[in-house]
Amino acid sequence: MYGFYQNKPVWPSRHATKILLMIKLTTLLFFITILQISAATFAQKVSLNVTNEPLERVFDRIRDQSGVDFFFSASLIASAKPVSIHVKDLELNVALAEIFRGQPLRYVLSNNAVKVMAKEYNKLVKPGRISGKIADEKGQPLPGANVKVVETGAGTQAAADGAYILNLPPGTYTLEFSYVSFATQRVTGIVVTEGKNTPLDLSMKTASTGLKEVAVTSGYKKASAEGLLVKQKNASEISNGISAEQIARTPDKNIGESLKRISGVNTVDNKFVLVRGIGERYNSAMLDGVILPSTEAQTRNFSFDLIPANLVDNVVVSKTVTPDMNASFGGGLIQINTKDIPSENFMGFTAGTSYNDQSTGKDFFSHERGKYDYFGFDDGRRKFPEGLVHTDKGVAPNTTLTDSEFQQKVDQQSQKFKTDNFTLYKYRAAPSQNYQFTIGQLIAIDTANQNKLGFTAALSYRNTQSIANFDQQRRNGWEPTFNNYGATYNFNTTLGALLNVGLQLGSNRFSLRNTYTHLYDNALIRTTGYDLDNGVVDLASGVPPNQIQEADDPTFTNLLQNKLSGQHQLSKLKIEWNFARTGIDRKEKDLGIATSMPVLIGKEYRYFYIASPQIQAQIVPMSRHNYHNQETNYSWQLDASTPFTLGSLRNTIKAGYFGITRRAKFNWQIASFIYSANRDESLRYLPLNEMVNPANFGANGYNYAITQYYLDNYDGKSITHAGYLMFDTRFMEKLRLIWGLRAEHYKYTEIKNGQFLRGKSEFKLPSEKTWQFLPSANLTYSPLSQINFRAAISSSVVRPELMDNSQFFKFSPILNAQFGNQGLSSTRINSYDLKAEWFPGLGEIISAGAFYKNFDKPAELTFSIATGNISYYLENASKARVYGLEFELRKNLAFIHPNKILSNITLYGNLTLQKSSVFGSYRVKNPDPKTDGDIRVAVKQERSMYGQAPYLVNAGLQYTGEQFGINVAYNKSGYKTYIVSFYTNQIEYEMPREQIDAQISYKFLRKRFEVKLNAGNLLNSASTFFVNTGSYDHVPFTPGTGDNGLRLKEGFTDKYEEGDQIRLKQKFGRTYSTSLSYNF
Amino acid sequence: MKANLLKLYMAGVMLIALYTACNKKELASPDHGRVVKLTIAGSSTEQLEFVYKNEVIAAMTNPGQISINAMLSVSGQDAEVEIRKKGTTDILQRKKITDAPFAQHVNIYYDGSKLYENAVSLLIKGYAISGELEFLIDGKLAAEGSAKIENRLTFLMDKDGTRALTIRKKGETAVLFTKTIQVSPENQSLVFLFDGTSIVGNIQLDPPANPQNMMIRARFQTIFPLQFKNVDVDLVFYTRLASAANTVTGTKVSPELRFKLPKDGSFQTLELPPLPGSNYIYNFDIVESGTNSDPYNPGSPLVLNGYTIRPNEGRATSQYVTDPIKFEAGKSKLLVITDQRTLAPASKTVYISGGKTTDLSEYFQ
Repeated sequence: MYGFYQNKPVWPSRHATKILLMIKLTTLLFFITILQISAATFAQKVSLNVTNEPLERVFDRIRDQSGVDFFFSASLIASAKPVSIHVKDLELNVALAEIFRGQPLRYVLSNNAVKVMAKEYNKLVKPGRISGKIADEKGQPLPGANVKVVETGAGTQAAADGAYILNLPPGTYTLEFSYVSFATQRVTGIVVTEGKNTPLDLSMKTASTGLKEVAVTSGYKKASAEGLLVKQKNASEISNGISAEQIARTPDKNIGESLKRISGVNTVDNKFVLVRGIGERYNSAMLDGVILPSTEAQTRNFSFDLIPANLVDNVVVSKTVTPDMNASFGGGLIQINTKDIPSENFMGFTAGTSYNDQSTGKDFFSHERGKYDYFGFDDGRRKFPEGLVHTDKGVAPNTTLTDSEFQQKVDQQSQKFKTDNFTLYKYRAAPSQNYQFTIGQLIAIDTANQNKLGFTAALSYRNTQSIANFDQQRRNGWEPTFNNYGATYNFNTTLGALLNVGLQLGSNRFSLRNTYTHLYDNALIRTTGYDLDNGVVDLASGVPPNQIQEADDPTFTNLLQNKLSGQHQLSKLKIEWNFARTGIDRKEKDLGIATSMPVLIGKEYRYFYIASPQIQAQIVPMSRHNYHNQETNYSWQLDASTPFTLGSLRNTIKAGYFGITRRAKFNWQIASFIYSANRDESLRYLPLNEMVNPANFGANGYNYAITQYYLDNYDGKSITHAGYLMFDTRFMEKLRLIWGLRAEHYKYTEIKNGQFLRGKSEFKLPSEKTWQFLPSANLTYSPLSQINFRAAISSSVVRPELMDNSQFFKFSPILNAQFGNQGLSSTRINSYDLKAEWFPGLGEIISAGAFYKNFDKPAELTFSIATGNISYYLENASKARVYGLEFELRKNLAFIHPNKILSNITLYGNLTLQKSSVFGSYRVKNPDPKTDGDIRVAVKQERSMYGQAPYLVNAGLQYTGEQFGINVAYNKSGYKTYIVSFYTNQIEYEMPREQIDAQISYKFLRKRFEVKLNAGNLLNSASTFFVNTGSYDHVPFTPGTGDNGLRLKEGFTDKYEEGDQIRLKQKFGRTYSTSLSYNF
Repeated sequence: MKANLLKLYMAGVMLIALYTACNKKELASPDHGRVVKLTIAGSSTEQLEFVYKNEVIAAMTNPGQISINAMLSVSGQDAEVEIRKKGTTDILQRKKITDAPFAQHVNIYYDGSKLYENAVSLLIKGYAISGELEFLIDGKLAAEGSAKIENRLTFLMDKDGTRALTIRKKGETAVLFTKTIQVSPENQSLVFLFDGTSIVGNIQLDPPANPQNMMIRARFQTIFPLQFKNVDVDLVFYTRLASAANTVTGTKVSPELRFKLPKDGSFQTLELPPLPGSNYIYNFDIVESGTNSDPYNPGSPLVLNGYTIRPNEGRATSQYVTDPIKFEAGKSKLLVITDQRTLAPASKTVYISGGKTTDLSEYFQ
């Protein structure tokens, strides 16, 4: 019993806690002092000139010169061999390493003292590792560079990518790096611990005659920092990025969290990315050099939180194009490169949960969930009937049927819809949960022959249930005098798996990278309000909101990406190749739209669901849909590069070929819920579950009608061949020019393009240039080692997604309209950039830049009433010009005072200011009588391009301590153009929105555990969209001249002012999350 | 302590999983019951209002007919609609409504003192050969009529009650006929013939033996009682073109077709053969039975001064042309035949033939 109490953990009293705190602080101060002494000891230099002198005597000489004491036993020193050494002003540590080489003794240098011990030959010690990359001062890898361990004489050579790896017993080492025509460099004080990797990237300087025989020596910390700085400073294009080392210092667990630390990058929900305030259409993302398809159903976005941070080697966000890039973009290219062969073994598990203050625990509307929704798979309840045929009476083969035969056909088909996926249920939103398991293993290693094999893998699971409340919905069809309101209920389950395998055989390297993502994303949008047709009358008569619309979109997406790549160094020639397959399979299963209306029953209004009249068969009020989209891409690439010298100019030439073939298929099936003209009145008032019960189908009840346009498909393919030639030319060491030309051949083939809209199709694919020549040049001038001036010109072509070429129009509940396009052109973007960068220290940058971009035929989300009906099209404007300024700052606060706290604090921020002018287009009747249809005529419009904001601010403060970390981030964007229109009073803008996120992390139990607390979207500012209805006057104008008859009123702007109309206001709530990670 | 924190954290995660597993669904819209379409019909001498779940769901704007349609939400079997006088709280009656079927109907009849649940509509259809009749409901005069009578009487009824209809000659107290009205069926009828002394409620009409013929069952009635000799008469049949002038003589049916009708006015039957063509009608002379003599004495008002009654010989009066014996093969008709005269001023002649026929068949078929 007594023993039991003795073993029970005792919680410290308040007093005891104070004492504990004091002990900790004292220990901390003591530790800092020791560190400083230790650093000073390493830096001491000694001169020795002895031959066959006893070891004990040599110790005396060193003590005399440095004041360092030696501790040893007499019996131990007796076994020592005599020493011969001739050195002058050599670092103490290097000298000691030389003295102890070949001795049966080892030593530990600490606290101005050297402890001498016997070597423990029999003890099984797990080796540690030193690894990194060797590059020149311009960041180019130096394959074949020599690395030697001064203490042991062991060594290795850098591989094709400049990477090296050394296995060493635990201890403190000095490495010597040498390479022809580069100054030999020694790095001292590299501590190798058992089973761990010590990273060291090194930047070597070109040798000048005077330095040829003298090694440059520096401490580990300095050398490592310089290596990273050089990498950061020497990107060939204008870019920003974050390396594995930088990520390792943050508490980030996935790339979604890390991206916001990159200048000029905005993230939404730690998942989606905006670069330079340019909309998602003009950003692109690559994972290991392969373009990432969208993981989201309707937007071009990738959910970056699926990629664990510890699998990432680096992330680079490029803002200008070089000819060797296989991606097209106007804003930025996010390149995520993952590790295949890890530098050390790791295994980690993270579990997390989050609470959203307007979602968690609140009523969550949903259709009946399937058994496996939490696992992300459908249990069969959303399976759409097979073998559906159209039920247009006037279209073959139905024309030959009698009325009763036709009715029988409709009845029989309707009976196939057996499951009720319409009835709305109320669940309670559960907290989000996420789990992630990561592993990385270096399976086999042979440092002598530079052979190694390894893999990294990750498994992740996430379930999120979120509610985004909105009000002031006044878009198409909703009565603008009422505050129509609702919410988006989003249920998301995401499963992710990643497996990379890498094999290095000497100067050949192979890797196989595989990413699998499975998403189940179900967004149910429920809107309550008055419709435009009867709203005013109903509102005045005291009728409650006359319409509740529910649109549910259960989407199941599978994304599988495989890439096999190789890298070979053949003397000076470097060859890289890869072959990749990307498959995406997206099923929107039994997407349902249902609308209910109030009916006065007794004295009380009750809502009943409504159907279309049989002859109309519309999507709204009630219909069910099934979409299947498959896209498969195969790409292949071969690059070769070699350095050469032309006169005094050092050049690298790089040439390559890239090909990609894409194939996209899209099937749609839509069944409109209809009522017969002879419907029994009693069926009008049935609850929804009985309404959709096949028992109530038939000639006197309900049915499903499918028009000839509701069952069709799209099938298209494209093939792109691209070749490029690129030169990296260095003039006078301070000037570097990367220039070249990329030629792309693009061919799109339409296999089937089913019509969706009734009537004569207006869809017409614009003719495309088969060849596009894309020159680019990036000039960097570095007058000082820390300063760059950059100038860049580049061209890029953003082509329509294959699905953009389909005639299909999808109903968007948030626009309350159908949305599609009538044929999109590619957008060519010519960019001109200027930038001045100053890198005051590692991870620090202060920069200013200016850019000008010319968009030829940018695609914009366009509001149109050209056909008499309100529609939303993705439509090409004629051209747009965007010019802007960028400022960036990332600065460690150690410059104020070099104490530990300030040196752990980094202040960062960036500001983008931009302005654009757009030449839109409007439709006029083709004056050529031989050609039917409309043509578009360009007209200059004083407005921003779609997706643009005039300013974007990111700012933050980051504290990264040994155990404790904190990060506070703020961002705000200006008025963002969301939907454009020829009618300036119909252009929809998003009001400026501010966001503050905060994160606290703490590592404990030898840093194996890490706990994080995140608070996201702390201001919970609304995302508000509006149009300038009150800011414009109507003036007389001549139609067909490009004049829209609208003039800005005096004193008014396109900002939100009195009289303008809010179209939608949405809030997402504050999210508080926590996670616990354990590294095994 | 850190290990404890870890345990706490893991417990938290498990709780979340448990919370998720226990997350039960419920219908987004609560069940408000079934919708029933209630129609309320009837009548009231005062304005009534109808209350459901403490809310007035409908009210009359004027006394009179009630015709109300109301949609109600009904859960279960115990719902009630309350009926009260407008502006009062006293409930006159409660009507039970169930959640099915969709269409439900309630009749309300309020006479100012009592609310009846049912009303029986009695169609009185008959013929009074002579005299005027009075119709009484529970002794209270409800209607009057003579000759051709067609009237609809409403009897407000309790659920299981009965009411009495009596018929008497106007000015007399003797009851000619009594009928007990039951609560159902809702629509009832009374068909009768009053022959001047009694109500005949059931007259048999047999079809003709030869379907080509038409059976008539008829009685004779004079409009000249002062000149009529009060003898049995024979109708001697002629055929004539329907379009022929009244004074044109007809063609006597050969062999002669006589139809004897007694002076007491009793009904006799005769099968009429088919007409020569569809544009022909039957006509007849009225003679003393068994003779060809007129059954009338001279004198006013039948015979004007200086005029002489002469044989009719198939001539027609204008009234008869309007209401002739309409021949329909295979049919059987109940007729009351009256006499009439036609004056020929040029020859100062009075012709007597059928005045009009009143077809009572509809009451007895």
